[in-house]
Amino acid sequence: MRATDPPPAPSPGNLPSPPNSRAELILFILAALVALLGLADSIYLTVHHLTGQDVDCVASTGCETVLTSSYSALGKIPLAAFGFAGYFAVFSLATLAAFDRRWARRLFFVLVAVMLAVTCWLLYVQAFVLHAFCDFCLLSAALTTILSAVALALFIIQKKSARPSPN
Amino acid sequence: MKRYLPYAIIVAVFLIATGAGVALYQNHEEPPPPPRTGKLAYGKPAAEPAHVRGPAKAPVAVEEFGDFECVPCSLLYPILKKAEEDYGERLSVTFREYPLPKHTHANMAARAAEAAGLQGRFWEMHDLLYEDRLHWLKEADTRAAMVSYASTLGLDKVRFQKDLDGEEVTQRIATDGERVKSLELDRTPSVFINGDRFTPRPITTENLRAAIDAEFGKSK
Repeated sequence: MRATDPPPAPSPGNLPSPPNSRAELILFILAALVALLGLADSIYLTVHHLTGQDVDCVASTGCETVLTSSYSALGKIPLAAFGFAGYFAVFSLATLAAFDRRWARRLFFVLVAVMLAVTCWLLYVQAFVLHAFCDFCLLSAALTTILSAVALALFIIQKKSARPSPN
Repeated sequence: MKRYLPYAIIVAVFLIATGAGVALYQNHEEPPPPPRTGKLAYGKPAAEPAHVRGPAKAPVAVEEFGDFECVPCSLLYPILKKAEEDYGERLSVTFREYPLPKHTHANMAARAAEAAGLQGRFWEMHDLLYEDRLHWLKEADTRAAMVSYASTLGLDKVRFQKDLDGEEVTQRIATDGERVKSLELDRTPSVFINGDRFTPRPITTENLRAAIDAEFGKSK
């Protein structure tokens, strides 16, 4: 290609991504903050699982039942460690998306959907299999629900902005 | 610069999070192992006569401080039972009451086991309480469930009900509690093997067997 050649026309995949709107930016920052809370929750639970210390519940009485059940680990890895990985990934993707990385936005949606599905399954296990609830697991479920609401709001905003204007 | 800022934030958060996790892990308080002065020889004495399964002179003595409501205790129950079968006369198991205050049904279950013990049937009630744990925990009236277990075991029901509220049972649980305090225990199950605190968690068949075998090795 010579210096005098005209620049190539942008392909659809190469189109410069539009920057986040103010609402999107606020939602991604909110998602990152919520993920940080989830990160703290999962670190606490992982450490308590590894050290074998009792976790004192405040609102419920089933912490020990839930956290020592066979559902609390996959093999030798505590489930809370997977929570750590999940929340850290959500935090990273929300941060990157807040800085206008479009690919991170898509992965963010997928990951939050997966985490919501896992949360629903864990709530089912607590309610119908173990018949016990644990405060820290319920906190994580609440945080994932908030993340899902944020992701849904972002999705709606994205759809609205992608719709061609009537003119 | 702005191009790298999100990555810098992510790396910083990762380092802080893992650092906090490591610090929390290193700072968790594990009670120091008490000095070893012989088989079950330190700490305040527990209720006598103790609930012991196996010969008093068995070369390896396991002492468990348990709570009938606690999940890890119920997981330990079949492991210990299997060990008792496998080691036979070479192993004795002593059970001490340590009903945790946070477990709402544990005290009644401990009282039931002790009341059964006054009729010489402690271990039968002990086994029944662990094996049927999920059933009696769901009962609205724990006391009624305990009385029904007494009937199942063929105990004198009138005496059982009297003992369930009796001073002797209260005193036995309190005396075991004194031993718990003197050993500075903070969790159930707490297990000692020949006077040494057995700390691995969770307790598995493998790590328990390894500890028992190690005791046989010492006595050789």
